[in-house]
Amino acid sequence: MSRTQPPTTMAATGTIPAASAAPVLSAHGIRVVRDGLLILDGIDLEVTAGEVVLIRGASGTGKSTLLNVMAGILPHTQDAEVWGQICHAGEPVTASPPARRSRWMGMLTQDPAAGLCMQMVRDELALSLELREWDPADIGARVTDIAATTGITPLLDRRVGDLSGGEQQRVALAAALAGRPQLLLLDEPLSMLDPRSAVAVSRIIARSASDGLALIVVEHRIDDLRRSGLVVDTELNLGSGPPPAARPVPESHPGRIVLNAHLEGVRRSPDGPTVVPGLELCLHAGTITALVGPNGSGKTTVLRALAGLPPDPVAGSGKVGLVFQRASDQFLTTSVEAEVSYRADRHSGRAMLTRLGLADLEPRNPHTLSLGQQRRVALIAAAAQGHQIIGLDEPTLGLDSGASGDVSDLLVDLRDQGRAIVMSTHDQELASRLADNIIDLSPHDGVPTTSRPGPLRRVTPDCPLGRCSPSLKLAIALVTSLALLATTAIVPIAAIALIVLCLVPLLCHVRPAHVSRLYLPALGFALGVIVINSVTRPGTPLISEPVTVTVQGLEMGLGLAARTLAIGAIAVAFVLSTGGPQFVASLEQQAHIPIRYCFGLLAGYRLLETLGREWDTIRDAQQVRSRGAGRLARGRIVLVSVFCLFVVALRRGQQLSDALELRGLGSGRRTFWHRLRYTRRDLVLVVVSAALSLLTVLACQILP
Amino acid sequence: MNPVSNEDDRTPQPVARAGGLGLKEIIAVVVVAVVFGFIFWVMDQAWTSLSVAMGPLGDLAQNVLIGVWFLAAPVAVFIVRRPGAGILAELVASVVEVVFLGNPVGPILFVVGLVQGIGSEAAFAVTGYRRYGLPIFLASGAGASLLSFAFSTLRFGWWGQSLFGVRLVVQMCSGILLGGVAAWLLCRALARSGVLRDLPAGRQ
Repeated sequence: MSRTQPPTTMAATGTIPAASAAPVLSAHGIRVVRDGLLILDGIDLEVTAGEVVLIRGASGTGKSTLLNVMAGILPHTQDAEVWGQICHAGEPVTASPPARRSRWMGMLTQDPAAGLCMQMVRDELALSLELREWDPADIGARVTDIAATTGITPLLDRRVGDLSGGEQQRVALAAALAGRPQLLLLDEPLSMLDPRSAVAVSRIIARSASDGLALIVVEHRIDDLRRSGLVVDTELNLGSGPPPAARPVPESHPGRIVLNAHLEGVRRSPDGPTVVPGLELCLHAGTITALVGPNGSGKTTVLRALAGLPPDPVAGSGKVGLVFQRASDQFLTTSVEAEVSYRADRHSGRAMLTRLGLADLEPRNPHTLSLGQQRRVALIAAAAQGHQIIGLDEPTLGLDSGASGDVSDLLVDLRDQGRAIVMSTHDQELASRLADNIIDLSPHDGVPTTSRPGPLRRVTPDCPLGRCSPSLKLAIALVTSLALLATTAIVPIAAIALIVLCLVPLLCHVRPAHVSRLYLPALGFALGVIVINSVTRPGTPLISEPVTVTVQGLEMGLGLAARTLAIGAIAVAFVLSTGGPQFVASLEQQAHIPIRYCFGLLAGYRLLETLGREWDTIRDAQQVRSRGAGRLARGRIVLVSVFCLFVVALRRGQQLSDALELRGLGSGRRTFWHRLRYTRRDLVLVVVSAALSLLTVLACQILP
Repeated sequence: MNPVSNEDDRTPQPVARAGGLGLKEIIAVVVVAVVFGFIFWVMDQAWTSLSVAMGPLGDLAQNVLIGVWFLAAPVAVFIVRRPGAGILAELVASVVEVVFLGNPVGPILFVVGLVQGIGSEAAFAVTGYRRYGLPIFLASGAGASLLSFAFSTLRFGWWGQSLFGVRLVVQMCSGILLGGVAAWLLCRALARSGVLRDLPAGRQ
């Protein structure tokens, strides 16, 4: 979209900004073209030390784009054509990538978890300092200090993955502030937070600003920030005026009752606690009902029950549609047109698209749409399926006021068609403006969402083998496993397998039962190897009926089986004593693998922690969408779910990559707060392994 | 506030790293490996009794299912379009399997991964990382099948068994179908979804 008017010049309000030194950031003539569209044209911006700049503008005017240019994400990590000059303290920095700009600048985005990649909060804060090459001796004190300043001291010894969204955002903010940046860029940091967390985060931001930090803020919930004490010095308006006021909502005309249900003892999962003890739900056609309440009070749980999802589905929920928070989880087809026609009357969906002016989106792949467009398409698709009742989980989360207004207009439209809308929302203003009924779930004792046990296991780090260097263990395991491939001796190898297996419970501090369970597949495999080899190898027959078993076959089978068992035993010893994060740290410090690979692996570990929940959400979303589909269709839908998981994971990965660069990961140089060193234990391991290997080799030579 | 900008003012595009893997590319490869690792774990959980029963049958069933393991490398190469992406994907998948998920097959999977990665990437390397049609994916699946078959022969002692020929045929079919066709379909769908826009696959 091109703009013919130059943007409104900056209007100064409030306190006098400091003016003596060179500005922290000054940008001239910023022009951005992305995907062939002109987004920004000739923007100038100057921020002096301690100044707070607010960027305003309607949807699509390029607020986030401008921040991304300041941060260096455009054009260094994301594609765009950028013109203009950016200077920091008089020096031009336009050509410097985000990692270099991180020395004086930090950034906080919408998604709290986007930049967090360590296991423990303390390590996360320390990482910011390690990447800025702080002296390890000073790191501990600064971590305690910044935690106290931002009020997250109680969170210091908790796992990042267990924190709520609001807590994660506070940690991300503390991590951004730890390195004492001169400028902080804030891209809608409150938009995904519930009101309580938003207040906590706003207070930290306001206090940092009053301590002298310069800020460039894009935030449509600016009033929350102002209420916490933030004073805006300058406003930059990218649009041609103030955002349009929300259209007044016409009166609703409630019709007959479409649902009268009593929900009792609703749980999140079959083995979980009751989240909603009892709730009366009476829905009339042509009304909007809002579910409000803090995180954990059961809003999403009620919606899921309403939609007929396990474990406590509401009876008669075949006629309920549900639009999930992440609308793209529900897309089953490759075009918007196909999406609104899926298991629906083809014409009603397309008619709705045309009526709302979205007809030009029809041929596009739904995953390429913006968040607001995706929500509306998902809503239309659910409506086109003819559902009388439509549930929505946080319909305006993460949207700016323009997109938010579009979604609420659509909700009113559907309401006037005679449907019953039920939505859960944090947005008090939305609830009071649109809802005919507000159900407040706060009186219930909230049950916070706990992290589900996922595929990742925790390893006891204090066992004897656990304290050895993971890189060393890997090297030994690889060398011995490969060496074992060179032999088919039976007795010495079987002996080694037995010895190692017996040592595992002691060396790894695990119960023998656990070891056996892990080892069972190897035993079964070995048995199969013996059988297959005995029966399929030529030679002198041992048994002729009912199948031919040969001597050579049996001998070979036993040898191969022994080898499998030995390699398996070493494998079990390795696996039970080596955990993910410790392994990666060792790769970086002891195997000297470059830092970007190691952080890639850490990112993978973090991602793996969240994939369990993501997969369940996607499966639920697609189940609700495809209710009534046949067997074959369900099979295809599983594949579509896998695809959606890839899309979600790849997006997360890109966000994490940008965030890590903005924290300083790029030059490759860093310090280590906790240095890993080789110890005497490692020497013992090497000596013992070498001795055992030598004995085995000798035994193979001596014994036939 | 000049509405017209001159070309001299343009921020130079970052020089594309010739042959190197930057953080963004590495994380994209890791994401692919992690998601596949997770899917396999899900399948494993769904069929726990089968996996124990698979023990004795495992020696045979290996050749049928092995194609699924070949998916990570070609998808990674498609997304990142740089040498080494396939090998990295398989190595990371091994780390995910062995260290993160605790697969008791153990460190030897690193060697398996390396071999599979080299086999998968060969087809892409030979064409200079410029071609990404179905034939190349099929060739990649075949390459991975052949190389991993050779290593497995050494590892499990398949040479000399009367089944040898059957195993080879089954593994090749599995590798080409799963590692080739399935990988190609996934890559096409990902490209159309727009999620690869800021990665090398989206720029070409």
